[in-house]
Amino acid sequence: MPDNSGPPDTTGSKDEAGREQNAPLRIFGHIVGGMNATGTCWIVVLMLMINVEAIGRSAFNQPIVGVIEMIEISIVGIVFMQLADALRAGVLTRSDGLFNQVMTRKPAIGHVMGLITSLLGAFFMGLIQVGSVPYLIDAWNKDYYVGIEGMFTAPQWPIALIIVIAIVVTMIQFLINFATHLRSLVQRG
Amino acid sequence: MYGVEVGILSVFIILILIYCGVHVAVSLGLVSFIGVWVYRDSVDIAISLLAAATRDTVSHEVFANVPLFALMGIVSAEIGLGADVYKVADQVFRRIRGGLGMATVAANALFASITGSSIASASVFTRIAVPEMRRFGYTPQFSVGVVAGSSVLGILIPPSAMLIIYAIVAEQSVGDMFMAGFIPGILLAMAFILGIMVMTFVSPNFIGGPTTLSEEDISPAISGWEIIKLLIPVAVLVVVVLGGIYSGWFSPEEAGAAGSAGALVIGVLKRRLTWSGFWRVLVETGHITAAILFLIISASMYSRMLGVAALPTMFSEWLTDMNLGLTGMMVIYVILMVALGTIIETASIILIVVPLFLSSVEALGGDIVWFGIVTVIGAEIGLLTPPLGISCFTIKSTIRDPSITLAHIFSGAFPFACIMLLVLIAIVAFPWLSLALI
Repeated sequence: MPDNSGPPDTTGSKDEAGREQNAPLRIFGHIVGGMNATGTCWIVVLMLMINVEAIGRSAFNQPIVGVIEMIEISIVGIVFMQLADALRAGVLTRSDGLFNQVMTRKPAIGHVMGLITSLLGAFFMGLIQVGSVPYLIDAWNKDYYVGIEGMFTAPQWPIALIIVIAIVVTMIQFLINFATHLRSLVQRG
Repeated sequence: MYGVEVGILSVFIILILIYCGVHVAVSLGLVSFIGVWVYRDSVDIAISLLAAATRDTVSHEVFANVPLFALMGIVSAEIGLGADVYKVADQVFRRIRGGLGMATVAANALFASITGSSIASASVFTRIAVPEMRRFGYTPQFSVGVVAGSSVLGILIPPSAMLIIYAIVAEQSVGDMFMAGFIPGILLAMAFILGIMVMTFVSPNFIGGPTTLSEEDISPAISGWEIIKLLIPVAVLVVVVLGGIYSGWFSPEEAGAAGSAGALVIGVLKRRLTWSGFWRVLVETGHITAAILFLIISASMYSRMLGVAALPTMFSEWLTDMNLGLTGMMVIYVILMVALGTIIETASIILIVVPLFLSSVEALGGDIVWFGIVTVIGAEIGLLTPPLGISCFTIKSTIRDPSITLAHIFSGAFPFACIMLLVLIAIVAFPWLSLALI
């Protein structure tokens, strides 16, 4: 599934160590990287939680209260923490056979395809965002929770907030890909 | 008929967008958005459907299977369990003509029982088995073809990422899907080995390899004790994971968590896991998890859209009206799967096509678990065929030898794609092959 077909490197915008020289882009890179690192550590936590739950269930014959809810929350958290970085690394699933061929033979058309696909991606993220922000506000104002009252409950808003942030960051990453293709196109004349 | 036409049109638009390089999740999501907007005549409903699918879909314990089995497979590859298994298989088969090819198949079958992806298998065995076969004079086509072909075992022999995805879409138990993949996987491995044997007689030039083996080649390179030492870690993981699921001691996600922890412990004990290797493994697991689960989120938007249009029911009535019967429908379905497999990858195919066919299969009396095994093998045949055989591209990007071209890989994989098709026909004809262990 990984296709390693991220947007082509922009020439001239990075120093010798490959760092972005443009300050906002550099900060944005740190945000995406930081979210990825958080999601990465969260996977270890998820693995440990399920092991602990399995041991609790089989050794003491009783499930640990709240573990199931924490597992469910964790999966959503992991996916959205990693989403922008997966896009940046070029591993978000796409069929790139035609795209790569066009890119080698007719780079200009390839970049136009890149422009369109990035823009569609950003637009899709925008649509999700329009629906997700009102839900976050409701979750905060009306104290939505998961779990069973009296046993274990956790508020909904943190995960709703993670989704909203992740979708914004992924949308910006799509727009950066768009700009990268645009710059390559302009440089080619 | 309005519904069926719009539905089929939407599938075509999705396929065209995917083919043009739009991310699969974006294609599914945008077409679902437009579909719901048209059917319900409301942008608000369409948007809230997208947002609801985004936050609800993967919030369930069963989805933990995806990161956990990915983690277990990637750790196993990182700590060299694939190479260990290959050493043993090499020892067993080295005396026979075509033996290194058979060893690659056998090692893949064994490694497949601790990893769930054909991509992982393809990249591991490209690095280990191809140089070894080239050293003994096997042709480039055969060396890479056998790696590409046998990498498919990774998704059929449990655990398997694709069987997990199918189980989620078709609402079947992950454990049942795993057990159903077992016999077909072993059958396919044996068919590959038999196929290599036949090829050594029918077309020895296609295979190449040593005609006479020197005393040095035959003498055992590793002792029996070393073989046992090499196999113990793999055996422990197989017993924990598959034994745990089959006996009912573990749920699949618990088995995945225990298997991941076990693989990490083995890596530490064998001193093969560095901190940087551990971090790399985790990042890769995260990327795969995000890619697969976001795909599932978008597929949920799509199946909600299909539900709004009542399309699966209409499609089922339409197929029933054609009086094809189960066999006739399966013939069309297998052709469709193989054709789609040549342009898009397996997970996307399962997520796009399976929701359309499920009610038809049930209406015609087919078993949903069996249907899943047929689906996965059918789509995976496409992994070996041009233009977009993904296993072949993985091998091309892993291989360091520039003299081996994509054309070599596709032509080498072709006999294995044919063998898969024969095995698939057997599995369609004899459903008990998939259902015996459930």
